[in-house]
Amino acid sequence: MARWYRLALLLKGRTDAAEAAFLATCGDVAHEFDEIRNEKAQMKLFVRRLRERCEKAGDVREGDDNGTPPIALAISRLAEPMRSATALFFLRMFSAAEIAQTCGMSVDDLATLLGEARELLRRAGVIPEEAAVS
Amino acid sequence: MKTEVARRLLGCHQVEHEPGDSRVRKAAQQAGKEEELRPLLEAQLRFDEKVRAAVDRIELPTELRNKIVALEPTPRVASGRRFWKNPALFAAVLSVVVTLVLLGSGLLDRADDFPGKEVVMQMIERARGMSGVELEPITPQPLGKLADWFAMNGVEQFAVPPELTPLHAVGCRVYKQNGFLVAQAAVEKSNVLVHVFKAADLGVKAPANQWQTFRVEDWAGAVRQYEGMGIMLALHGSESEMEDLLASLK
Repeated sequence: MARWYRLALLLKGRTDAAEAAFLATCGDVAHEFDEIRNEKAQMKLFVRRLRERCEKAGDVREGDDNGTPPIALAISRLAEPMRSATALFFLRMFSAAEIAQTCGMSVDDLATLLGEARELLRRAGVIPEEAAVS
Repeated sequence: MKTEVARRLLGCHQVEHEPGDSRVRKAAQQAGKEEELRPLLEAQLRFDEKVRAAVDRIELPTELRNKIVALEPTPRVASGRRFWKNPALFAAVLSVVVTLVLLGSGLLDRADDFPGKEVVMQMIERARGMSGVELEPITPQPLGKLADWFAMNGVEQFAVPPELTPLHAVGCRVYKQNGFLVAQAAVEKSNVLVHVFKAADLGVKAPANQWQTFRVEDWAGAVRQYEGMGIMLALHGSESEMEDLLASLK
């Protein structure tokens, strides 16, 4: 459950918006989960529904949210589909091929995108002591 | 693999899921041997580990956790919950109730009905509510070769009559109906959902050598038994469309 909340926070960047999207998605999938025994299939469904919820709600940027960790803020500020791909990658929820499929791209494109995301995160200073990786 | 390709693919290398993509795995293996790539991979792994550690420190707020727990349906009484969770007891009681209802209404005497029809109608109701994402996509393969897939997903026995074996399935899943497992497969061309279950578990007694069709609102079903298994087809359409489909299988 914590991992799915983390995903919501990485996508939304604000605790209030993440909690709302997370709760709404739990409600969305509650009855559907009864029919899916495969855990991976459940994860895929949850991610799909959560992304739909987040996209529907749009980006919330006004106001400060002191409760959001810098890493979540930085990832949430990436553009889609880089944001979703990066969040899923660092949450270790899926293999590269599954992330690529979820985000509608090839594994090669995903690899390029993640390389760019790392560079953006490094510049954002969320891991300040790190040198450039590419 | 060319160094440039390996360098790019390293971008999605992750230790946890490494076996999932052979090209990425090969790129990582190559990076371990090439002077040019090794420092890049090591730096990337260090960076990723720190980002993941930061992500893992995000905790689910206790208040939110309580709200999620509150979303789960509360049983009326504890013993009732145990009753619903006990498949054997549930099936026994359900079977008695259904039989009594059928006997009471004289439905067993009707030629177009059969014991357990209520259960297969419930399966169609489920199918009507599906969006498609419930199914696990698979490489198209004949229904007759899906026994291994279903065995890996908990279904010990899977068999379909000969007329169905050549149909290619594109998605599968296993779910529980009244506490018992039902194997479900979506067929590629005819938009039909095939359900396979142990007929005795669910109290279904359908004809063994012929299909019996029925309708559930805008869906049609066809059921028969084969080697002790209940086989139920469901499609969004009329009974005559189902009959056309069955005729095409012969």
